[in-house]
Amino acid sequence: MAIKILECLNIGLHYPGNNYFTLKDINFAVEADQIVALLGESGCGKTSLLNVASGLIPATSGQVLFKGQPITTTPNGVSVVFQDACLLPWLNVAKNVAFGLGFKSLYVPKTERNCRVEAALKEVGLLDAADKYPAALSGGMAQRVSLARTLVRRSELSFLDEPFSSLDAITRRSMQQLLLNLLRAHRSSALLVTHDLDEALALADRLILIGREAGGTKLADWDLNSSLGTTGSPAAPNLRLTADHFFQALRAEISGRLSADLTD
Amino acid sequence: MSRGRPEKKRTSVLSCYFWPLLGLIGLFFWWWLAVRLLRASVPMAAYFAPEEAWHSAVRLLSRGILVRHALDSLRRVLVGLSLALAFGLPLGLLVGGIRAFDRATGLVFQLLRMVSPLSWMPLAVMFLGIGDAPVYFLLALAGVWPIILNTAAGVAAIDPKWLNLAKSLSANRREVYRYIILPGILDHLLTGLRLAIGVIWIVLVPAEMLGVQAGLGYFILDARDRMEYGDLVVAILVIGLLGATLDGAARRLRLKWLPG
Ligand SMILES: Nc1ncnc2c1ncn2[C@@H]1O[C@H](COP(=O)(O)OP(=O)(O)O)[C@@H](O)[C@H]1O
Ligand SMILES: [Mg+2]
Repeated sequence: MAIKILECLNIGLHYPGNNYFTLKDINFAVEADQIVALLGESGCGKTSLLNVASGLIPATSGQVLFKGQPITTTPNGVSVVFQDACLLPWLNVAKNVAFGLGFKSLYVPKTERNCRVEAALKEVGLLDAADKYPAALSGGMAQRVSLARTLVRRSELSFLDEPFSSLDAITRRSMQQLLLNLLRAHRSSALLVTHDLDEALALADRLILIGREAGGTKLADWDLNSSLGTTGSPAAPNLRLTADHFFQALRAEISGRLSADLTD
Repeated sequence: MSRGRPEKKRTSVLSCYFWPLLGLIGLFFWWWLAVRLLRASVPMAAYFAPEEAWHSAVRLLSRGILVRHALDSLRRVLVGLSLALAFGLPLGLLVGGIRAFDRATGLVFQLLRMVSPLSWMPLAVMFLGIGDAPVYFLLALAGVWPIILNTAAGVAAIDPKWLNLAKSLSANRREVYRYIILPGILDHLLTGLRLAIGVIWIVLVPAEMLGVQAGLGYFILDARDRMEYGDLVVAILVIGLLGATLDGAARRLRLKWLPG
Protein backbone atom coordinates (compact mmCIF):
# COMPACT_ATOMS: atom_id res chain seq x y z
CA MET A 1 0.00 0.00 0.00
CA ALA A 2 1.48 3.32 -1.10
CA ILE A 3 1.73 6.26 1.26
CA LYS A 4 -1.26 8.55 1.15
CA ILE A 5 -0.04 12.09 0.82
CA LEU A 6 -3.48 13.68 0.74
CA GLU A 7 -6.72 12.36 2.12
CA CYS A 8 -10.11 13.96 1.82
CA LEU A 9 -12.53 12.46 4.30
CA ASN A 10 -16.29 13.01 3.96
CA ILE A 11 -15.83 16.50 2.59
CA GLY A 12 -18.95 18.61 2.55
CA LEU A 13 -19.02 22.25 1.52
CA HIS A 14 -21.76 24.82 1.85
CA TYR A 15 -21.16 28.44 0.83
CA PRO A 16 -22.94 30.89 3.09
CA GLY A 17 -25.96 32.29 1.28
CA ASN A 18 -26.49 29.26 -0.98
CA ASN A 19 -29.43 26.98 -0.30
CA TYR A 20 -27.59 23.89 -1.48
CA PHE A 21 -24.41 22.01 -0.68
CA THR A 22 -21.70 22.53 -3.31
CA LEU A 23 -19.89 19.36 -2.22
CA LYS A 24 -21.38 16.33 -0.54
CA ASP A 25 -19.56 13.61 1.26
CA ILE A 26 -16.48 13.35 -0.94
CA ASN A 27 -13.79 10.79 -0.16
CA PHE A 28 -10.57 10.20 -1.98
CA ALA A 29 -6.85 10.03 -1.45
CA VAL A 30 -3.80 10.98 -3.47
CA GLU A 31 -0.89 8.61 -3.09
CA ALA A 32 2.76 9.55 -3.25
CA ASP A 33 4.00 10.21 -6.83
CA GLN A 34 0.49 9.94 -8.15
CA ILE A 35 -1.20 12.38 -10.50
CA VAL A 36 -4.92 12.47 -9.91
CA ALA A 37 -7.27 14.24 -12.29
CA LEU A 38 -10.54 15.71 -11.05
CA LEU A 39 -13.01 15.74 -13.90
CA GLY A 40 -16.45 17.11 -14.24
CA GLU A 41 -18.50 19.66 -16.12
CA SER A 42 -18.19 23.27 -15.17
CA GLY A 43 -20.01 24.29 -12.03
CA CYS A 44 -19.87 20.83 -10.46
CA GLY A 45 -17.57 22.02 -7.70
CA LYS A 46 -14.07 21.11 -8.93
CA THR A 47 -12.53 24.43 -7.98
CA SER A 48 -14.32 24.33 -4.64
CA LEU A 49 -12.99 20.86 -3.92
CA LEU A 50 -9.47 21.87 -4.90
CA ASN A 51 -9.68 24.94 -2.67
CA VAL A 52 -10.80 22.83 0.25
CA ALA A 53 -8.20 20.13 -0.39
CA SER A 54 -5.40 22.71 -0.62
CA GLY A 55 -6.49 24.47 2.56
CA LEU A 56 -7.54 27.70 0.86
CA ILE A 57 -11.08 27.48 2.18
CA PRO A 58 -12.34 25.44 5.15
CA ALA A 59 -14.69 22.53 4.58
CA THR A 60 -18.12 22.73 6.15
CA SER A 61 -17.80 19.13 7.22
CA GLY A 62 -15.20 16.42 6.94
CA GLN A 63 -11.45 16.59 7.12
CA VAL A 64 -8.42 17.07 4.91
CA LEU A 65 -5.23 15.25 5.88
CA PHE A 66 -1.86 16.16 4.42
CA LYS A 67 0.64 13.39 5.18
CA GLY A 68 -1.70 12.22 7.89
CA GLN A 69 -2.04 15.59 9.58
CA PRO A 70 -5.32 17.54 9.50
CA ILE A 71 -4.90 20.93 7.82
CA THR A 72 -6.80 24.20 8.06
CA THR A 73 -4.53 26.39 5.91
CA THR A 74 -2.22 25.65 2.98
CA PRO A 75 0.70 23.73 4.49
CA ASN A 76 4.33 23.95 3.44
CA GLY A 77 5.04 21.26 0.91
CA VAL A 78 1.90 22.15 -1.01
CA SER A 79 1.69 24.54 -3.92
CA VAL A 80 -1.19 25.79 -6.02
CA VAL A 81 -1.23 26.67 -9.72
CA PHE A 82 -4.19 28.81 -10.62
CA GLN A 83 -6.27 28.84 -13.77
CA ASP A 84 -4.76 32.06 -15.04
CA ALA A 85 -1.09 32.32 -14.19
CA CYS A 86 -1.80 34.85 -11.44
CA LEU A 87 1.50 36.68 -11.76
CA LEU A 88 2.04 39.95 -9.93
CA PRO A 89 2.31 42.68 -12.57
CA TRP A 90 4.74 44.83 -10.56
CA LEU A 91 7.37 42.07 -10.31
CA ASN A 92 9.55 40.78 -13.12
CA VAL A 93 9.62 37.09 -14.00
CA ALA A 94 12.50 36.19 -11.66
CA LYS A 95 10.89 37.99 -8.73
CA ASN A 96 7.52 36.43 -9.48
CA VAL A 97 9.13 33.00 -9.35
CA ALA A 98 10.86 33.87 -6.06
CA PHE A 99 7.65 35.32 -4.62
CA GLY A 100 6.84 33.75 -1.30
CA LEU A 101 10.29 32.33 -0.65
CA GLY A 102 11.00 35.29 1.65
CA PHE A 103 7.90 34.68 3.75
CA LYS A 104 8.17 33.55 7.33
CA SER A 105 6.30 30.34 6.60
CA LEU A 106 8.94 29.06 4.18
CA TYR A 107 12.03 31.22 4.45
CA VAL A 108 14.76 30.48 1.93
CA PRO A 109 18.02 32.50 2.22
CA LYS A 110 18.73 34.90 -0.62
CA THR A 111 21.61 33.06 -2.32
CA GLU A 112 19.76 29.76 -2.17
CA ARG A 113 16.67 31.52 -3.47
CA ASN A 114 18.53 32.85 -6.53
CA CYS A 115 19.91 29.39 -7.28
CA ARG A 116 16.47 27.84 -7.13
CA VAL A 117 14.94 30.55 -9.31
CA GLU A 118 17.62 30.13 -11.94
CA ALA A 119 17.24 26.36 -11.94
CA ALA A 120 13.45 26.57 -12.17
CA LEU A 121 13.55 29.11 -15.00
CA LYS A 122 15.95 26.86 -16.84
CA GLU A 123 13.60 23.91 -16.40
CA VAL A 124 10.65 25.78 -17.87
CA GLY A 125 12.86 27.29 -20.58
CA LEU A 126 12.48 30.91 -19.54
CA LEU A 127 15.97 31.86 -18.37
CA ASP A 128 16.14 34.56 -21.04
CA ALA A 129 12.90 36.13 -19.89
CA ALA A 130 13.97 36.56 -16.24
CA ASP A 131 13.91 40.36 -16.45
CA LYS A 132 10.64 40.66 -18.35
CA TYR A 133 7.42 41.85 -16.78
CA PRO A 134 4.20 39.77 -16.94
CA ALA A 135 2.55 42.24 -19.33
CA ALA A 136 5.14 41.28 -21.94
CA LEU A 137 4.51 37.51 -21.69
CA SER A 138 2.26 35.27 -23.77
CA GLY A 139 -0.29 33.10 -22.00
CA GLY A 140 1.90 30.02 -22.28
CA MET A 141 4.97 31.83 -20.97
CA ALA A 142 3.01 33.24 -18.05
CA GLN A 143 1.78 29.78 -17.11
CA ARG A 144 5.34 28.45 -17.32
CA VAL A 145 6.41 31.18 -14.91
CA SER A 146 3.69 30.07 -12.56
CA LEU A 147 4.92 26.46 -12.84
CA ALA A 148 8.41 27.71 -11.99
CA ARG A 149 6.97 29.49 -8.97
CA THR A 150 5.74 26.16 -7.64
CA LEU A 151 8.97 24.36 -8.57
CA VAL A 152 11.10 26.61 -6.36
CA ARG A 153 8.99 25.63 -3.37
CA ARG A 154 10.09 22.00 -3.78
CA SER A 155 6.59 20.96 -2.86
CA GLU A 156 5.55 17.34 -2.54
CA LEU A 157 2.02 17.99 -3.75
CA SER A 158 0.81 20.40 -6.41
CA PHE A 159 -2.75 21.53 -6.92
CA LEU A 160 -3.54 22.67 -10.44
CA ASP A 161 -6.87 24.25 -11.32
CA GLU A 162 -7.42 23.98 -15.08
CA PRO A 163 -3.93 25.36 -15.57
CA PHE A 164 -3.91 25.19 -19.35
CA SER A 165 -7.54 25.82 -20.24
CA SER A 166 -6.91 29.33 -21.54
CA LEU A 167 -4.03 28.27 -23.81
CA ASP A 168 -4.26 27.38 -27.48
CA ALA A 169 -4.24 23.68 -28.38
CA ILE A 170 -0.61 23.47 -29.47
CA THR A 171 0.76 25.37 -26.49
CA ARG A 172 -1.46 23.26 -24.24
CA ARG A 173 0.06 20.04 -25.57
CA SER A 174 3.61 21.18 -24.92
CA MET A 175 2.66 22.52 -21.49
CA GLN A 176 1.09 19.18 -20.59
CA GLN A 177 4.28 17.41 -21.57
CA LEU A 178 6.35 19.91 -19.60
CA LEU A 179 4.16 19.47 -16.53
CA LEU A 180 4.39 15.70 -16.76
CA ASN A 181 8.19 15.86 -17.06
CA LEU A 182 8.49 18.23 -14.14
CA LEU A 183 6.24 16.21 -11.86
CA ARG A 184 8.10 13.00 -12.72
CA ALA A 185 11.52 14.61 -12.35
CA HIS A 186 10.69 16.00 -8.92
CA ARG A 187 8.68 12.97 -7.84
CA SER A 188 5.85 15.25 -6.93
CA SER A 189 2.21 14.30 -6.60
CA ALA A 190 -0.52 16.36 -8.13
CA LEU A 191 -4.23 16.94 -8.01
CA LEU A 192 -5.23 18.31 -11.40
CA VAL A 193 -8.60 19.84 -12.05
CA THR A 194 -9.67 19.70 -15.65
CA HIS A 195 -12.77 19.47 -17.77
CA ASP A 196 -10.74 18.05 -20.65
CA LEU A 197 -10.85 14.25 -20.77
CA ASP A 198 -7.89 14.06 -23.16
CA GLU A 199 -5.79 16.08 -20.77
CA ALA A 200 -6.80 13.85 -17.87
CA LEU A 201 -5.95 10.69 -19.81
CA ALA A 202 -2.65 12.11 -21.00
CA LEU A 203 -1.46 13.16 -17.57
CA ALA A 204 -3.19 11.29 -14.81
CA ASP A 205 -2.61 8.00 -13.02
CA ARG A 206 -6.08 8.20 -11.63
CA LEU A 207 -9.28 9.83 -12.66
CA ILE A 208 -12.03 11.04 -10.38
CA LEU A 209 -15.35 12.10 -11.83
CA ILE A 210 -17.43 14.65 -9.97
CA GLY A 211 -21.10 14.95 -10.83
CA ARG A 212 -23.23 18.02 -10.49
CA GLU A 213 -26.65 16.45 -10.53
CA ALA A 214 -26.45 15.03 -7.06
CA GLY A 215 -24.77 18.20 -5.81
CA GLY A 216 -21.01 17.73 -6.10
CA THR A 217 -20.57 14.07 -5.32
CA LYS A 218 -17.95 11.64 -6.49
CA LEU A 219 -19.36 9.52 -9.27
CA ALA A 220 -16.39 7.37 -10.14
CA ASP A 221 -12.75 6.75 -9.38
CA TRP A 222 -10.61 4.96 -11.95
CA ASP A 223 -7.05 3.76 -11.65
CA LEU A 224 -5.60 4.19 -15.13
CA ASN A 225 -2.42 2.22 -14.46
CA SER A 226 -3.84 -1.02 -13.15
CA SER A 227 -6.20 -3.20 -15.10
CA LEU A 228 -8.30 -3.54 -11.98
CA GLY A 229 -10.65 -0.73 -11.22
CA THR A 230 -10.84 0.62 -7.71
CA THR A 231 -13.67 1.48 -5.34
CA GLY A 232 -16.34 -0.45 -7.14
CA SER A 233 -15.89 1.22 -10.51
CA PRO A 234 -15.59 -0.86 -13.66
CA ALA A 235 -12.25 -2.39 -14.58
CA ALA A 236 -10.10 -0.31 -16.91
CA PRO A 237 -7.85 -2.58 -18.96
CA ASN A 238 -6.80 0.26 -21.21
CA LEU A 239 -7.27 3.93 -21.78
CA ARG A 240 -9.86 3.56 -24.50
CA LEU A 241 -12.04 1.50 -22.26
CA THR A 242 -11.64 4.04 -19.53
CA ALA A 243 -12.77 6.75 -21.86
CA ASP A 244 -15.79 4.65 -22.76
CA HIS A 245 -16.66 4.16 -19.12
CA PHE A 246 -16.21 7.82 -18.54
CA PHE A 247 -18.53 8.76 -21.35
CA GLN A 248 -21.09 6.23 -20.22
CA ALA A 249 -21.07 7.67 -16.75
CA LEU A 250 -21.31 11.17 -18.12
CA ARG A 251 -24.10 10.22 -20.46
CA ALA A 252 -26.00 8.58 -17.64
CA GLU A 253 -25.57 11.72 -15.60
CA ILE A 254 -26.76 13.98 -18.40
CA SER A 255 -29.71 11.84 -19.47
CA GLY A 256 -30.75 11.61 -15.83
CA ARG A 257 -30.79 15.39 -15.69
CA LEU A 258 -32.66 15.70 -18.98
CA SER A 259 -35.45 13.42 -17.89
CA ALA A 260 -35.55 15.23 -14.56
CA ASP A 261 -35.89 18.51 -16.43
CA LEU A 262 -38.65 17.11 -18.62
CA THR A 263 -40.69 15.91 -15.68
CA ASP A 264 -40.34 19.27 -13.91
CA MET B 1 8.72 52.41 -41.74
CA SER B 2 12.05 54.21 -41.88
CA ARG B 3 10.35 57.08 -43.69
CA GLY B 4 7.48 57.37 -41.31
CA ARG B 5 9.64 57.54 -38.22
CA PRO B 6 11.35 60.96 -38.47
CA GLU B 7 8.06 62.56 -39.42
CA LYS B 8 6.48 61.19 -36.27
CA LYS B 9 9.38 62.51 -34.26
CA ARG B 10 9.00 65.97 -35.75
CA THR B 11 5.35 66.19 -34.78
CA SER B 12 6.15 65.12 -31.25
CA VAL B 13 8.88 67.75 -30.90
CA LEU B 14 6.46 70.27 -32.31
CA SER B 15 3.71 69.38 -29.86
CA CYS B 16 6.23 69.04 -27.07
CA TYR B 17 7.82 72.46 -27.24
CA PHE B 18 6.32 74.62 -29.95
CA TRP B 19 2.70 74.85 -28.81
CA PRO B 20 3.39 75.27 -25.09
CA LEU B 21 5.93 77.96 -25.93
CA LEU B 22 3.42 79.70 -28.16
CA GLY B 23 0.90 79.61 -25.31
CA LEU B 24 3.41 81.16 -22.93
CA ILE B 25 4.23 83.92 -25.40
CA GLY B 26 0.49 84.51 -25.74
CA LEU B 27 0.18 84.83 -21.98
CA PHE B 28 2.93 87.42 -21.82
CA PHE B 29 1.34 89.30 -24.72
CA TRP B 30 -2.06 89.48 -23.00
CA TRP B 31 -0.38 90.53 -19.78
CA TRP B 32 1.44 93.33 -21.59
CA LEU B 33 -1.72 94.34 -23.47
CA ALA B 34 -3.89 94.36 -20.31
CA VAL B 35 -1.42 96.61 -18.52
CA ARG B 36 -1.31 98.86 -21.58
CA LEU B 37 -5.09 99.20 -21.72
CA LEU B 38 -5.61 99.56 -17.98
CA ARG B 39 -2.99 102.26 -17.63
CA ALA B 40 -5.33 104.88 -19.07
CA SER B 41 -7.91 104.45 -16.32
CA VAL B 42 -5.78 102.99 -13.49
CA PRO B 43 -2.34 104.62 -13.52
CA MET B 44 -1.05 102.14 -10.91
CA ALA B 45 -1.31 99.37 -13.49
CA ALA B 46 2.04 100.51 -14.85
CA TYR B 47 3.76 99.00 -11.82
CA PHE B 48 2.57 95.56 -12.89
CA ALA B 49 4.01 95.69 -16.38
CA PRO B 50 6.23 92.85 -17.63
CA GLU B 51 9.21 95.24 -17.78
CA GLU B 52 8.87 96.04 -14.07
CA ALA B 53 8.63 92.38 -13.27
CA TRP B 54 11.77 91.70 -15.27
CA HIS B 55 13.78 94.27 -13.28
CA SER B 56 12.43 92.85 -10.01
CA ALA B 57 13.25 89.32 -11.08
CA VAL B 58 16.85 90.18 -11.88
CA ARG B 59 17.28 91.94 -8.53
CA LEU B 60 15.53 89.27 -6.47
CA LEU B 61 17.34 86.38 -8.07
CA SER B 62 20.77 88.02 -7.91
CA ARG B 63 20.34 88.51 -4.14
CA GLY B 64 18.90 85.07 -3.60
CA ILE B 65 15.95 86.48 -1.64
CA LEU B 66 13.28 84.72 -3.59
CA VAL B 67 15.15 81.43 -3.43
CA ARG B 68 15.07 81.55 0.35
CA HIS B 69 11.33 82.17 0.44
CA ALA B 70 10.69 79.49 -2.16
CA LEU B 71 12.73 76.97 -0.13
CA ASP B 72 10.68 77.83 2.96
CA SER B 73 7.49 77.19 1.01
CA LEU B 74 8.80 73.91 -0.40
CA ARG B 75 9.78 72.73 3.07
CA ARG B 76 6.23 73.38 4.25
CA VAL B 77 4.84 71.46 1.29
CA LEU B 78 7.10 68.55 2.14
CA VAL B 79 6.08 68.48 5.79
CA GLY B 80 2.40 68.94 4.96
CA LEU B 81 2.54 66.19 2.36
CA SER B 82 4.34 63.81 4.74
CA LEU B 83 1.71 64.42 7.41
CA ALA B 84 -1.07 63.91 4.87
CA LEU B 85 0.56 60.64 3.79
CA ALA B 86 1.18 59.48 7.37
CA PHE B 87 -2.52 59.87 8.20
CA GLY B 88 -4.05 59.34 4.79
CA LEU B 89 -2.41 56.03 3.89
CA PRO B 90 -3.50 54.07 7.01
CA LEU B 91 -6.95 55.65 6.91
CA GLY B 92 -7.27 54.81 3.22
CA LEU B 93 -6.21 51.19 3.89
CA LEU B 94 -8.88 50.96 6.60
CA VAL B 95 -11.55 52.50 4.36
CA GLY B 96 -10.64 50.17 1.51
CA GLY B 97 -10.19 47.09 3.68
CA ILE B 98 -12.99 47.24 6.26
CA ARG B 99 -16.52 47.61 5.00
CA ALA B 100 -17.95 48.86 8.27
CA PHE B 101 -15.24 51.51 8.54
CA ASP B 102 -15.97 52.62 4.99
CA ARG B 103 -19.69 52.92 5.71
CA ALA B 104 -19.10 54.72 8.99
CA THR B 105 -16.65 57.27 7.63
CA GLY B 106 -18.08 57.81 4.15
CA LEU B 107 -20.39 60.72 4.99
CA VAL B 108 -18.01 62.22 7.56
CA PHE B 109 -15.09 62.30 5.12
CA GLN B 110 -17.27 63.66 2.34
CA LEU B 111 -18.44 66.43 4.62
CA LEU B 112 -14.97 67.32 5.90
CA ARG B 113 -13.47 67.13 2.44
CA MET B 114 -15.77 69.84 1.12
CA VAL B 115 -14.75 72.35 3.79
CA SER B 116 -11.96 74.58 2.56
CA PRO B 117 -8.94 73.93 4.79
CA LEU B 118 -8.57 77.69 5.25
CA SER B 119 -11.82 77.67 7.23
CA TRP B 120 -9.88 75.95 9.98
CA MET B 121 -7.39 78.81 10.17
CA PRO B 122 -8.82 80.53 13.28
CA LEU B 123 -9.06 77.20 15.10
CA ALA B 124 -5.59 76.16 13.99
CA VAL B 125 -4.07 79.39 15.28
CA MET B 126 -6.03 79.14 18.51
CA PHE B 127 -4.82 75.64 19.28
CA LEU B 128 -1.42 75.53 17.62
CA GLY B 129 -0.31 79.14 18.03
CA ILE B 130 1.37 81.26 15.42
CA GLY B 131 4.16 79.96 13.22
CA ASP B 132 4.74 76.85 11.16
CA ALA B 133 2.52 74.46 13.12
CA PRO B 134 -0.87 75.78 11.99
CA VAL B 135 0.38 75.99 8.40
CA TYR B 136 1.49 72.34 8.52
CA PHE B 137 -1.90 71.45 9.95
CA LEU B 138 -3.78 73.23 7.17
CA LEU B 139 -1.63 71.72 4.45
CA ALA B 140 -2.01 68.22 5.88
CA LEU B 141 -5.74 68.76 6.07
CA ALA B 142 -5.79 69.86 2.44
CA GLY B 143 -3.75 66.91 1.20
CA VAL B 144 -5.14 64.08 3.28
CA TRP B 145 -8.41 63.59 1.35
CA PRO B 146 -7.06 62.74 -2.09
CA ILE B 147 -4.66 60.31 -0.41
CA ILE B 148 -7.40 58.61 1.61
CA LEU B 149 -9.76 58.36 -1.34
CA ASN B 150 -7.17 57.10 -3.81
CA THR B 151 -5.68 54.60 -1.36
CA ALA B 152 -9.15 53.23 -0.64
CA ALA B 153 -9.89 52.99 -4.37
CA GLY B 154 -6.57 51.18 -4.81
CA VAL B 155 -7.42 48.63 -2.14
CA ALA B 156 -10.83 48.08 -3.69
CA ALA B 157 -9.14 47.45 -7.04
CA ILE B 158 -6.79 44.78 -5.65
CA ASP B 159 -7.36 41.56 -7.57
CA PRO B 160 -8.77 38.92 -5.20
CA LYS B 161 -6.67 36.37 -7.08
CA TRP B 162 -3.52 38.01 -5.70
CA LEU B 163 -4.86 37.60 -2.17
CA ASN B 164 -5.64 33.98 -2.94
CA LEU B 165 -2.09 33.51 -4.18
CA ALA B 166 -0.73 35.02 -0.96
CA LYS B 167 -2.96 32.67 1.00
CA SER B 168 -1.67 29.67 -0.92
CA LEU B 169 1.87 30.78 -0.03
CA SER B 170 0.90 31.00 3.67
CA ALA B 171 1.58 34.73 3.85
CA ASN B 172 0.82 36.31 7.19
CA ARG B 173 -1.10 39.56 7.55
CA ARG B 174 2.01 41.76 7.49
CA GLU B 175 3.34 40.01 4.39
CA VAL B 176 0.02 40.44 2.60
CA TYR B 177 0.18 44.20 3.24
CA ARG B 178 3.87 44.52 2.45
CA TYR B 179 4.00 42.38 -0.68
CA ILE B 180 0.50 42.49 -2.18
CA ILE B 181 -1.53 45.46 -0.97
CA LEU B 182 1.12 48.19 -0.91
CA PRO B 183 2.60 47.41 -4.34
CA GLY B 184 -0.91 46.76 -5.63
CA ILE B 185 -2.13 50.23 -4.68
CA LEU B 186 1.06 52.07 -5.72
CA ASP B 187 -0.48 53.42 -8.91
CA HIS B 188 -3.51 54.80 -7.08
CA LEU B 189 -1.37 56.09 -4.23
CA LEU B 190 0.93 58.03 -6.55
CA THR B 191 -2.11 59.54 -8.24
CA GLY B 192 -3.37 60.56 -4.80
CA LEU B 193 0.01 62.07 -3.95
CA ARG B 194 0.01 64.08 -7.13
CA LEU B 195 -3.47 65.45 -6.42
CA ALA B 196 -2.40 66.18 -2.84
CA ILE B 197 0.64 68.12 -4.00
CA GLY B 198 -1.61 70.20 -6.25
CA VAL B 199 -4.13 71.13 -3.57
CA ILE B 200 -1.42 71.67 -0.93
CA TRP B 201 0.39 74.06 -3.22
CA ILE B 202 -2.83 76.01 -3.78
CA VAL B 203 -3.62 76.23 -0.05
CA LEU B 204 -0.02 77.06 0.84
CA VAL B 205 0.00 80.66 -0.39
CA PRO B 206 -3.01 81.91 1.59
CA ALA B 207 -1.89 79.86 4.59
CA GLU B 208 1.45 81.63 4.51
CA MET B 209 -0.27 84.99 4.55
CA LEU B 210 -1.18 84.52 8.20
CA GLY B 211 1.38 84.66 10.95
CA VAL B 212 4.55 83.38 9.31
CA GLN B 213 7.62 85.45 8.45
CA ALA B 214 8.84 83.70 5.31
CA GLY B 215 7.56 81.84 2.28
CA LEU B 216 6.06 82.88 -1.04
CA GLY B 217 2.66 83.74 0.45
CA TYR B 218 4.34 85.93 3.05
CA PHE B 219 6.50 87.49 0.33
CA ILE B 220 3.44 88.59 -1.65
CA LEU B 221 1.98 90.49 1.30
CA ASP B 222 5.42 91.86 2.13
CA ALA B 223 5.89 93.12 -1.45
CA ARG B 224 2.51 94.80 -1.26
CA ASP B 225 3.45 96.55 1.98
CA ARG B 226 6.75 97.66 0.51
CA MET B 227 4.87 98.78 -2.59
CA GLU B 228 7.23 96.74 -4.75
CA TYR B 229 4.62 95.58 -7.19
CA GLY B 230 7.17 94.13 -9.56
CA ASP B 231 8.26 91.78 -6.75
CA LEU B 232 4.65 90.78 -6.22
CA VAL B 233 4.23 89.84 -9.85
CA VAL B 234 7.46 87.86 -9.82
CA ALA B 235 6.24 85.96 -6.76
CA ILE B 236 3.05 85.04 -8.61
CA LEU B 237 5.05 83.82 -11.58
CA VAL B 238 7.36 81.77 -9.36
CA ILE B 239 4.39 80.20 -7.57
CA GLY B 240 2.94 79.12 -10.89
CA LEU B 241 6.26 77.86 -12.17
CA LEU B 242 7.14 75.88 -9.04
CA GLY B 243 3.63 74.44 -8.84
CA ALA B 244 3.82 73.21 -12.43
CA THR B 245 7.28 71.78 -11.77
CA LEU B 246 6.09 69.91 -8.66
CA ASP B 247 3.16 68.49 -10.56
CA GLY B 248 5.40 67.43 -13.43
CA ALA B 249 7.82 65.79 -10.99
CA ALA B 250 4.98 63.89 -9.31
CA ARG B 251 3.72 62.69 -12.65
CA ARG B 252 7.17 61.60 -13.77
CA LEU B 253 7.72 59.80 -10.46
CA ARG B 254 4.54 57.82 -11.07
CA LEU B 255 5.60 56.81 -14.57
CA LYS B 256 9.05 55.86 -13.31
CA TRP B 257 7.85 53.74 -10.40
CA LEU B 258 5.30 51.82 -12.36
CA PRO B 259 7.04 48.81 -13.93
CA GLY B 260 6.97 47.45 -17.42
N1 LIG C 1 -17.52 31.88 -3.36
C1 LIG C 1 -18.67 31.25 -3.65
N2 LIG C 1 -19.80 31.61 -3.01
C2 LIG C 1 -20.96 30.99 -3.30
N3 LIG C 1 -21.09 29.99 -4.19
C3 LIG C 1 -20.01 29.57 -4.85
C4 LIG C 1 -18.73 30.18 -4.62
N4 LIG C 1 -17.81 29.58 -5.40
C5 LIG C 1 -18.47 28.64 -6.09
N5 LIG C 1 -19.79 28.63 -5.77
C6 LIG C 1 -20.80 27.73 -6.29
O1 LIG C 1 -20.33 26.42 -6.17
C7 LIG C 1 -20.61 25.66 -7.32
C8 LIG C 1 -19.35 25.05 -7.87
O2 LIG C 1 -18.46 26.05 -8.32
P1 LIG C 1 -16.96 25.72 -8.74
O3 LIG C 1 -16.32 25.03 -7.59
O4 LIG C 1 -16.32 26.97 -9.21
O5 LIG C 1 -17.18 24.71 -9.93
P2 LIG C 1 -16.17 24.29 -11.12
O6 LIG C 1 -14.80 24.69 -10.75
O7 LIG C 1 -16.35 22.82 -11.25
O8 LIG C 1 -16.65 24.99 -12.34
C9 LIG C 1 -21.31 26.58 -8.28
O9 LIG C 1 -22.71 26.32 -8.20
C10 LIG C 1 -21.02 27.95 -7.78
O10 LIG C 1 -22.10 28.81 -7.99
MG1 LIG D 1 -13.39 26.01 -11.75
